[in-house]
Amino acid sequence: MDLIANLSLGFATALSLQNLLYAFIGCLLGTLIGVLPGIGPVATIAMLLPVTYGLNPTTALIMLAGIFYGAQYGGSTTAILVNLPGESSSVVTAIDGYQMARRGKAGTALFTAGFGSFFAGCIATLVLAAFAPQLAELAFNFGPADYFSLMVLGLVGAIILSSGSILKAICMILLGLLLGLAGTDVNSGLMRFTFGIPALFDGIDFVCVAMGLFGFAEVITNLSHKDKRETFTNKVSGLWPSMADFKRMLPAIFRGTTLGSILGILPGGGAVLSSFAAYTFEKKISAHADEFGKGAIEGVAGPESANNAAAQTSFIPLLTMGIPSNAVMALMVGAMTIHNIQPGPQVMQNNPELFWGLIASMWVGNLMLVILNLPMLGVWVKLLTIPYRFLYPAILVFCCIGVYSLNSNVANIYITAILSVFGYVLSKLGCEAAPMLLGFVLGPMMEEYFRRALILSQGSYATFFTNPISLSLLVATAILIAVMAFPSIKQKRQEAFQEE
Amino acid sequence: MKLKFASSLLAACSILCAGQSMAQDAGKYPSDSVRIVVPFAAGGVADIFARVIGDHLQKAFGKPFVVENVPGAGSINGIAQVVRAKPDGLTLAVSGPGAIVINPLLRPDQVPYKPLKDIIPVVMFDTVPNVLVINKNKIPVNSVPELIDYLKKNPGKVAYGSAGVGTTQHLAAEWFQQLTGTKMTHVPYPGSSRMITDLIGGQIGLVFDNVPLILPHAQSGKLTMLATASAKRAAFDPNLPAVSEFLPGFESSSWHGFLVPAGTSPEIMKKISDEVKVCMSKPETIKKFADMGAEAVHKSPKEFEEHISKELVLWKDVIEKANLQIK
Repeated sequence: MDLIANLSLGFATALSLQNLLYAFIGCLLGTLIGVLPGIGPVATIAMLLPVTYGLNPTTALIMLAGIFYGAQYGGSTTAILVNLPGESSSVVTAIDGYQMARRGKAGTALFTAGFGSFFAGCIATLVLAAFAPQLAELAFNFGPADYFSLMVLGLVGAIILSSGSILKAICMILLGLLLGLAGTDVNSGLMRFTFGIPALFDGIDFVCVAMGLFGFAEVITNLSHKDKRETFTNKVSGLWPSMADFKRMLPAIFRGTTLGSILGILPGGGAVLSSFAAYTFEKKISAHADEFGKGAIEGVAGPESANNAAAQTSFIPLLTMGIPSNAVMALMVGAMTIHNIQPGPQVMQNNPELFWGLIASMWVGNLMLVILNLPMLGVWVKLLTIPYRFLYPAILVFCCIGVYSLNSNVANIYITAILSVFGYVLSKLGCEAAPMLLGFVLGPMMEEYFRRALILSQGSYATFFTNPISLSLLVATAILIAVMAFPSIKQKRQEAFQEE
Repeated sequence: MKLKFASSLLAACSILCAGQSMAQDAGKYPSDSVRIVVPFAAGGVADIFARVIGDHLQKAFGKPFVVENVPGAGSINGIAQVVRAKPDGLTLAVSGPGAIVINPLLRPDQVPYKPLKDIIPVVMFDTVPNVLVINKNKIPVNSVPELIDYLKKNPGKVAYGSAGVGTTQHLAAEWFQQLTGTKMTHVPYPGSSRMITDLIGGQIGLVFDNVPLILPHAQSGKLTMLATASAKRAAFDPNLPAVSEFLPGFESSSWHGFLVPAGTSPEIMKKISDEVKVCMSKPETIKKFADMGAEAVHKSPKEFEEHISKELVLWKDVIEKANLQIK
């Protein structure tokens, strides 16, 4: 049994003292930022990227991954207690979770979220371990044309699934693509859009973009808000749900886990999408449809399991193909590249301890999160009372140190500063920065594969259509666009995101 | 205007300082902690080697040797910093062929220093040979002569990968084509990993690349090494022929060494070079380097300069013939 041998290698790695410690730090940080509204996992991982330089790559990724799924847990806590989704994928949880809290069932809601997430995390870890090797094997057969088509599918998916205006999402992706073009062209070695500035010869650094658009811009945005908080901190009691609650909760957790595991793998998918999808699904099939929006337990169980499952399975395209399916995974690409590991099918062969260690650490991390979250709820809730004026100077200082240490170049701080102003303007205009980041990462890759496919086909565009994998991916893209254009579905999508 | 003035002032200063450091007693070197600028990201081969040697120098000289990573722009950033430093031997640059041989030839407009004029070699401490490796499903040959024959019969049909325009992998393949009168299609990649994945997948048929990345796949039978591109047969597999046995004079190896700003006193350079020599002959250093696919060597300042001059002539010719220069 390869699976068992592999998993035991993974656990041996994940259970080393150092890795356990960093997994714990990651989970703790993740929960922390999940609880604090305004700082999402993307911003946090962006800020912490430079900190991981000194760690070995496995440990670094374990910590960053811990932040990611830790945030999924923490986000639900504030969503339920304060109706403030600490994290975008807990937006849905807030709908019914907060209502449950208002009805005095805050404890039950929190237990449901924690238990659902843990269950989903366990299953998703198994899915990851079972299917990733096969997919990696398949990835060796992926030619440049296939990769290009897969990324087209991913980008189109990202446009459709982004909440808010489609037009804006398209603009953001295009902007990201354009930003990604700066630097040395791989094919000719020519410099593009560098204006003779050496700091731009390698392109705009990913960390600058991520930190500017997310880290700094979020700080600016948060400073311009006045907080108003109504909490149910005092009413957290009776964590253990009743038998009737269990009966309604368990099937929803199963469905959410399945849905999340599948949607996480799709390019463009991930935690946010799957929590929305799970909520819609639960609402549709539930016998208690009328309770949704008023505190239905399925409305918490389904989406919470789905977003955690998806958070983990979204590592599959990254680790097997090297393609990030969402902004957090794009950051992971950055983290791996910093450590000289090119994400892709060879990771599993060249760095098996990293691959399996990361997978095993997810399970370990999930366990830690349950332990961390349920008894320590009170502490997390206290955090909500820290005034922001103490938090943000620290955040800014760490960001600047991080950006500078990228390559000991002050120019990077300027670039980040410019981008953060830009990011603030974007958020004022109601444009999401996430599609832009995805465009920024995928754009140069897409161009590279596009041109490589054409070099190999001697300039014949037919290569994108004669290749079976590429063709089916393009057909899938076309279907996606067609479906999009249908008025009824367009309306549904608007409804789904309206519920925010 | 102000900037110009400031920079000329700076230049004047540095000339003055240069004078001073000439006078510095080599016997007292190093008077202070030494900076080793690595123009690559932390964790790479060059970075690890710099730390291994820095560690030895620190113990031998009793002053800290601090490794600093200044990656980016094809090593231009890092080397340019060292060019501007005082020539007192307290700032060393780690360099491979890219920074001091290939980039100045390939993109002269973007490189703000002249090799051997603004920055000079102190000691070369390793060579990293390339191997010629193919995917047999794509190119059904067993030896270098068979490969040349195959390429002649299929001009332009075989695609070869490189880790980017102007890398040793790229130039080795260009030179190979020029010497054999064959024609292949160049497919550049940003780095080696993806290139090797594509070679295994059969998207491309052939590459010249460093041994460590290739070896596991060659052992598993997915890839076939035809020959080593080092001058002589390599230590890791004496049964593997060298390309030079079929194409006399052919050699494509990467290497690493220390550079210092021009004007550094020869005594100081000799002192560094001699101590690196001690380090490179230690069995544990040799093993550490071998583990990373490199061979520990030692070339004195003079030998190293000859090596660079030779490569400058060779690659200039290859780059001109293939019309690769980037304006």
